[in-house]
Amino acid sequence: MPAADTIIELRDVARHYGAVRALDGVTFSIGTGECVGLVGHNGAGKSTLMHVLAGTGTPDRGSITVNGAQQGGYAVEVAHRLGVRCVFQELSLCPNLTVAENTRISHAALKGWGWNRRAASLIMGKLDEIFPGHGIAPGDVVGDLAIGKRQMVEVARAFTVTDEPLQLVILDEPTSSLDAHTAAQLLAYVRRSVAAGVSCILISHLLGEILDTSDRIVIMRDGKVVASDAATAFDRDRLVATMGAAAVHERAAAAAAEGPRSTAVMVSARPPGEDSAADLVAHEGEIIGLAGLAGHGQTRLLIDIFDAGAGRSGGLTVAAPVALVAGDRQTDGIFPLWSIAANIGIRSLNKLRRGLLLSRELETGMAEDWQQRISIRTPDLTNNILSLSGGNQQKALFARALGSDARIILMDDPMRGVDIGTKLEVYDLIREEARQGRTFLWYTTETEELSNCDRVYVFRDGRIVAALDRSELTEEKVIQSSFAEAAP
Amino acid sequence: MTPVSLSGTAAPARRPLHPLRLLRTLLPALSLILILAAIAYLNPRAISYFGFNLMLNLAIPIALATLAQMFVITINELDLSIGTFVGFVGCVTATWLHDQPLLGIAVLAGGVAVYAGLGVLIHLRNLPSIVVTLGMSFVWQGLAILLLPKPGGKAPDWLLGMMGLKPPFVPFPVVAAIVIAVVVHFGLMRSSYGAVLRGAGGNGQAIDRAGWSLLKTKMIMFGLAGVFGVFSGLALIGITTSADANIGNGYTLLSIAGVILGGGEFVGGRVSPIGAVIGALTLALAASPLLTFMHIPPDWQVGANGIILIVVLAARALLGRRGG
Amino acid sequence: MSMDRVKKLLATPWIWSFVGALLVWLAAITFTHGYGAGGMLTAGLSLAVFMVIVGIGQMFVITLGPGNVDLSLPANIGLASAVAMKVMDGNDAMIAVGLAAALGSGIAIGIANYGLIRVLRIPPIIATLSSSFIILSIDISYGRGLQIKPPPGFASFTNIQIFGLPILAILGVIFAFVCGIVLQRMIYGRSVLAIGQNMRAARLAGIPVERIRLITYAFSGARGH
Repeated sequence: MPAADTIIELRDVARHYGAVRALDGVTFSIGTGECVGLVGHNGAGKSTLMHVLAGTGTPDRGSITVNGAQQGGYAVEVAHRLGVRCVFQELSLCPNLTVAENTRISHAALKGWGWNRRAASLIMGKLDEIFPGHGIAPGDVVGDLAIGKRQMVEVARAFTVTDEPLQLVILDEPTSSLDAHTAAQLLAYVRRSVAAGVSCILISHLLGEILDTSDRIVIMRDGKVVASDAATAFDRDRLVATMGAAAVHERAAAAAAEGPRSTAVMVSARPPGEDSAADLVAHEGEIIGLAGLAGHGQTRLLIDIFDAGAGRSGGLTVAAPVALVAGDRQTDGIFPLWSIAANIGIRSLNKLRRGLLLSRELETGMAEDWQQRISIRTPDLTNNILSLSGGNQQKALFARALGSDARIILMDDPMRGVDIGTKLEVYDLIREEARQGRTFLWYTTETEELSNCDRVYVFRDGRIVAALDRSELTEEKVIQSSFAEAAP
Repeated sequence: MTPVSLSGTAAPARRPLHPLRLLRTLLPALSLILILAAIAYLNPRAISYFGFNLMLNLAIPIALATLAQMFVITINELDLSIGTFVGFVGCVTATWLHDQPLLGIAVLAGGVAVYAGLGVLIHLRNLPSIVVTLGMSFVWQGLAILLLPKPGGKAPDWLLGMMGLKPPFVPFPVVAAIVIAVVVHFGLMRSSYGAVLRGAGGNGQAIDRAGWSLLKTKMIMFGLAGVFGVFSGLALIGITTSADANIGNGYTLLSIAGVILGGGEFVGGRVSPIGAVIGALTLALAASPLLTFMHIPPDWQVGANGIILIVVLAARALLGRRGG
Repeated sequence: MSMDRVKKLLATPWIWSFVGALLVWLAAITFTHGYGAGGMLTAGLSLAVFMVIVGIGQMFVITLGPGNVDLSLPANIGLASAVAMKVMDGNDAMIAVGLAAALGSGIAIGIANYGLIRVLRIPPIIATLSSSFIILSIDISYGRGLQIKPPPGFASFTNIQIFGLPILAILGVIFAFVCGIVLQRMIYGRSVLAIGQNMRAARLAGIPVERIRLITYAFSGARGH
């Protein structure tokens, strides 16, 4: 194990997002010529840690030391100068520029006569080094490239050097859009690069990659580092166990129902694409969970079900009105100019009508009713929705869906970033509503929440790989299925 | 995430439209050629040195105004004041530039400075450019009317001389169009900083993260719009020899149409200087000469412009991508 | 308590327009030494009514969200008035029919605009701009040599004054008021406001986005009448 000098050391770093503790006192360090694998389930705090390392997120507490010198105002420019580069999952390429031009953007030194040629040879050289046979031309417009090739360009660009040194490259799920062959090329290059002195932090859900490529593995859970050891000390099982072992929490004492209920089928859906192990079937009054790693087709299916409305569409049967509770409040849910009451009432406009006009009384009445039932903490329902805390905003979105005439409620990871108190309140409400006959389809990235469900479908690569009834539902099983490597 | 297959150098699955994409890029040029062909068919005598000179004369100021608009559109903004600004410049040219050259130059430079200042204002206060430039359009209009309540004035001699050039073989407007297009093309599409400017329109956050100043890019692009607006006004007066406060009013919408016709898009930083110039030429030809030759009643000439725009954009939509 | 209300009033986006109008009026009568102050108001109100009606149509379109605008309104108005006058043909009995015809042409234009936007995927600015060119041409050729005077009943109606306020201004205010109610208190208006704030959220909240947009563009066209 090389790790001579320490490049970056974080000591007791914490970062809060409202009530959520994204980083809860993390101590982390990385040395020269070292490859550290960072693993953890959704919401463990990996991305936040990365942002702190790259200078794009300021910690609320804790110290950052780079090359022995403590940093006061650590920011992106400082990180750059010190040779810390980051490849995030949201690509930072300009889609309207060519590959060579995008390289230029990263390097101010590439200017003057013949800059395009120099930029082209720089990026081509690096692409050839990392991904031989890549098939990318320097004049290709990035927006026209497939996502896999874009990823290759982004990664290669991070490793290019002009006048600033390169000490550490942080790769966040770099292989998520690459196929097995290209991913292998990248990881081989990472090993070569590390041997040459450039350190790397690798974040990946592919445990095989982590085990093969890292010198040291750090496991995070709930904003803390729970394990850090040499890679050779781990194997798949130990990784999975350390990641998934849940802290003790309240489990719902629910009446155990063996197998699917005998009530009417509300939803029957087949994920598009290759064959799934099962179709998703939801009976009236059931709470169905959708699990698996984030972005493996769960939201896609929910949206398809929503579009199918109360009818048929392809492999989808939906038997009653549908409402959706969005998880990404900003883009999918909130109407930022409106009051809390208006945000709640928007799905039920027909109900709030008295004659030709919408009745303010009915609207306020509905909002007050739900404020009671779901405990929305606000002094005044006519305040702007943004005056609410994140958790309460989410509650308002729940009220919107539950207050409507929909019998099927789709939930798109709605508890993301919500505090535990709110969560417990909402779980109770969901169970109550299900008892009264509403059907819930619940996509969540937190495995503990699945204990509320009657049945869980685990997704991987856009298909269902496992259907677990409540009786056989354990966190180990869910995580195992989530990480099941796709058959070649 | 379905894996992307990249076996060796096999043709990437994401480019089945290659011949169609090529067609899409050439669409502006094709439209121009089509219109020229139509003119040639209807009135062969128009395809001559003299004919081109006459038909394309007014295309130069339109092309310059279109380029001004293009700079602003590159960074995802819109300039609704370019038309009245051109009118203002025209009035200044025909009065002060002629009578008191130094004052005239100072005022024109001031105009460019105001444009750059608008860019700063829009960036710092995060104001919508549509609203700001709409307001400014009234300001320019008012100033123009104050300067020249009635049409008049006289263009400076040097300007008349320049716009009246008669180069051998190739008509002046064509030469001018080529020169302008080439210069701006090299400046925006080939220079190293031009890549940054365009990148700001494509992914401002990425440019910002890489350490470039977004404020500077906005200021520069708006400043360039001002510069080309000045050029457009100068060229216009050079041709018409006298000025009128309302002379440039139609240029605002024409310039937007020219940029879009030339393959540009409202968001995303995808523009083409050469396309913009071609678009302007197309509009200039279609505006009057073509329709006169087609014996389309003058009532319908304006409408024909609308139809041309729709047809070209529909073609573009059919050939693959959304028009912005 | 009163300070609070004043503060709230000052924070409204529109208060400054009224202040500005007041200042302009005061400046004008200062220049004329108070002469014709009343007449100025009356004339201003009559003319402003047209802008108000058109502006409200535009407002609904713009409320649909960034990028939505209807540049065909000026041309639309010209055509609508030509249609109305021609149909009425100086005949009092045809007033209602004429108005209906103008309304119809306006709505047709609005629907056509939306067709360009949705089907041909042309950005609203260009779509409405192009159609304005076309409408202008239709208007010119249709209205060629139009020397028709409005029917006497129609003309005298528009000149009525109630308490010195032109009837058109009063109707304009009523119209604005009604539109305000439509926007705030009717399902259609709510939908428009929702789409403008967050189109995706509106879709996911069950609002028929494309249908509402079509109606709005048609409505804006109708304003031309």
